[in-house]
Amino acid sequence: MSLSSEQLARVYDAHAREFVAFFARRVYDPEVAVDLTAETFAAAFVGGDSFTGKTDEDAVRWLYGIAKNQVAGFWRAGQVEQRAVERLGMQQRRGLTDEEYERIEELAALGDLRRRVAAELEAMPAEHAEVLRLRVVQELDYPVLAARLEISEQTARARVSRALRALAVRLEPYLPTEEGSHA
Amino acid sequence: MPDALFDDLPILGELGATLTAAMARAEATAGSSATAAAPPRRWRRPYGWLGTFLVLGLVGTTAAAGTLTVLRGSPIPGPKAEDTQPSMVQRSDSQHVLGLRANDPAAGHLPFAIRVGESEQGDICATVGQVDGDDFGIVGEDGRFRQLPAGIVDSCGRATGTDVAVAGARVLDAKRYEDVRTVIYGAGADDLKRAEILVRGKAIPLKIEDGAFVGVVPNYPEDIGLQLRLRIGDRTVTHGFGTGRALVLDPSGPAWQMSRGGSQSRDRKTQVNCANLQQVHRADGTRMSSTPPVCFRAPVEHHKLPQMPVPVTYNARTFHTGDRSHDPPGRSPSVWRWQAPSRTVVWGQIDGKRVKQIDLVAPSSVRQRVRKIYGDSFGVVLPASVNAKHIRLLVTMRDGSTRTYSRPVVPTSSMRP
Repeated sequence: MSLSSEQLARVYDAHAREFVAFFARRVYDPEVAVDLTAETFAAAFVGGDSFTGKTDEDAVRWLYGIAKNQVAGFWRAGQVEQRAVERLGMQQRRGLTDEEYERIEELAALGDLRRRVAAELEAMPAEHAEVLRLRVVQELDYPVLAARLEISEQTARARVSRALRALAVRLEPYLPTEEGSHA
Repeated sequence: MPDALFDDLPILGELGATLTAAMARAEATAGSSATAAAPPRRWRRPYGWLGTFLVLGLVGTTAAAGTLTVLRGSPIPGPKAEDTQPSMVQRSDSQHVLGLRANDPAAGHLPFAIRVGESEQGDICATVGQVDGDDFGIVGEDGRFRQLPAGIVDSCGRATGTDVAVAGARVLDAKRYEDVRTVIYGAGADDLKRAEILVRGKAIPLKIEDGAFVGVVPNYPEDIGLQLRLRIGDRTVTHGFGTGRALVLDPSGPAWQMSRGGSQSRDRKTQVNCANLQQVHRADGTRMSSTPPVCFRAPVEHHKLPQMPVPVTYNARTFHTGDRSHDPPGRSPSVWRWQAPSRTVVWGQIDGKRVKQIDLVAPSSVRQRVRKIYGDSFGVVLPASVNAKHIRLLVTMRDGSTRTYSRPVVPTSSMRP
């Protein structure tokens, strides 16, 4: 049984907020999270013939499958590829207001995550914190970073990798696992 | 279905409405029988989305009849004949709204159009407005659409063969900065081959119909360095609408302007000349921001411009929202405050007789030629992510030599002579 527009609209009304939070926890950007939500539901309508479930719960599970692919696609391409949105001729949306931005961060508990990142950076060895600040925050290229620290470019790359791995290990208990859950 | 479904996130309500409309269009196109059975969507913004609803021609909506129309007000009265210059009195049989449409950057707003005609004296006249069905008018700040009668004309002019007869940029102000719009229009060019607007240096082409064009962009013209570039025959004509000589563009917000001033000592032997950047206007009720001044002292020489002691004086600094001078008001004329978003600013003064050009270099591939303002000052506003401490100025002197400045040169920031 394919997915009807009526059922999709019903699922949207009931779960859109949940999907936005799902995306925001994975891409850390409320604007991108809203775009991914739009693309997921649009893609669900476009590909509705491949839906084999019946109930709204079946549809939600199916949509989360699409959502996970959308997240992977975003990290691969570095942007939201809105093929389904464009195919349906959906108008470009406005930007989020400050209140909406904060509300999505609240739904995704991004504020807590941000505080945890800041705390973990504070606790890291100074060498790791410094190299992450230069590479991630100031977005320095490796040659410039290496010159700044007076080390070789190869050493700079290795130091950034070590620092990122160390930070990931520290943050792992606080990162999302399954949809709708937060460790 | 509860009324307050997405009260905390209106964007989701708008997105849902867009999705529902798109699905209905797709099903109607595919001839699906599901369209007739689909329940009507609850419109959270009847002004914007009902326009789309009407285009679809769906039936069975439960929305009340009063909400199926755009909010309207009485037509704007036209001017009295005795108040109108003859050259701007249009022949009623010549007026028509062209098929050109310029979509508002925000979804759900009426598109802009241009109405052209001829005056009784043969001038080409143009009026910009918005279209709602067959009606031509304008939406006011109260959200109501009001028709613009035939007597209302923005401008008239005579075709010269080398330029359009009329061209202009009409600013539609709004309570919120992000709702401000500038409508660029022109008409009356026989051999108009290309029309484009430049926004922050980026060209955006406009469609042309009968030698006329219309486009709409967000923000005030000065905030985006707005220019209009036309190709007429084999000539290129450029009109600047937001390109004042003292203007400095912001990365994304209101523009800045270089302000200069000075004072003389009581004995008129010494003077101080200062320059700073000030916001051209505010965004959303914040106070206007400004930088502290960069000044130099020089002896007063009658009938001569003050001689700078060094070729370049400048400061480079990252300002954060809330930064301000700490001198008590009245104690120092150098009071300043920063209410704008964080920015890295480089500003200063130049001895134009000695300095030929300046290039600004910063990490992350930031490099740009610095435009001289009136030949003796400059200002550059960059994102706060650019580290002010790592900015260098590469100065080429008129004698061919070059100098590199990696630290600010601020002889004084006091305006007292």
